[in-house]
Amino acid sequence: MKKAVVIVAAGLIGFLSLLPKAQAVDKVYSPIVEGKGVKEIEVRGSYAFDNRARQNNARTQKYAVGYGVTDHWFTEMYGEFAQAPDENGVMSKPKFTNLIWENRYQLFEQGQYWLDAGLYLEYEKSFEHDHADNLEGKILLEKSLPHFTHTANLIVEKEVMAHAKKETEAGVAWSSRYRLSRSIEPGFEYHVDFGEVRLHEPYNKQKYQVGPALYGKVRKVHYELVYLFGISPASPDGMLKWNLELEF
Amino acid sequence: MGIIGTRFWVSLGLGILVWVPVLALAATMPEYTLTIKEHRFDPAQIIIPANTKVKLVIDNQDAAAEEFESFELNREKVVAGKHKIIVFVGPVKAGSYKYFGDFHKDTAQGTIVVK
Repeated sequence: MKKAVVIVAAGLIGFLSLLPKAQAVDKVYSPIVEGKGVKEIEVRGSYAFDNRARQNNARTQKYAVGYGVTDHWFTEMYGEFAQAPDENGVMSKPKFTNLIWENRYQLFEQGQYWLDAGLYLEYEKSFEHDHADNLEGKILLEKSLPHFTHTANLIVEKEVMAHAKKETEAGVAWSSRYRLSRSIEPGFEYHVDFGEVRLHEPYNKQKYQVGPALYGKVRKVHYELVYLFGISPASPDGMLKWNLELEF
Repeated sequence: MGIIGTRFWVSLGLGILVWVPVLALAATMPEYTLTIKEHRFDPAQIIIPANTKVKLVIDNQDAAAEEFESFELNREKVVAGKHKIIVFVGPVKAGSYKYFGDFHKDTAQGTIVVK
């Protein structure tokens, strides 16, 4: 379970991008980086439930390899496979849609100041001929208390290259968890997609999702399991998402 | 003195008021060194003051990486081989807090006693 696994995982790359793209809900990122020289394999996915045929059963699967470049900079390469239904609910075949390069930078040591903070920068290369590439930036904030950890991501993204929309989009993601034990940390997540910022999209076009979450670490595997309820009309009625990370 | 000059001096004054105590606190923060050698922490137990933030320097003298982890202290960070990291701990209440090296759990164990 060493370099060979990393090489194999790199060949399986998949990246997140449902059709339509706005359905994608990312994980809530901590600003705390794993450390220099850490190698990581990650698998994550999502599954949408909705009474609208166009969104029901849409799914993504994402595969990644990551590496701790320094004590404060962690980089990952993701690939995505996605399946989405058409207007009649007929599922497409799984296809490779995007390749992403993701970077997290931890600004200072955990606990050094009142709030932990970091930066996130991602470039998403689309492999679909009529889709734009995407550039995404986030401010990562985290506050740890004796038994609780609260994490917030402030998100800005912009399509670039061919077929790109002109407008910048914004969103917020929040996670709170109770540190019950190393292997079980119950909590919740809250995700908001405001849409295109300058257009001041009305509430019924923005996406608001909230729901319970379970986090933890079993041996060397971090896991996350989240169910989000859509609480605005544009959101899917429900979304299940999961994440597994192995560090070595 | 013009408006721009006034703003400059007010900003400078506020900055001094904020940062002098912060820097003073950092300068007086207790510091401890934990050495990793042959997959063991040395010392295996350290004593730190209660309700005080402290700075731990984790010095990994082995060639292999180790992961400094403590669920009680909410800290998890990999130390590369022949490398040092800094971990801030606290302020925490009096008690005993375990930590371990997740890559060599059998031998890399330790306790931070807070008094």
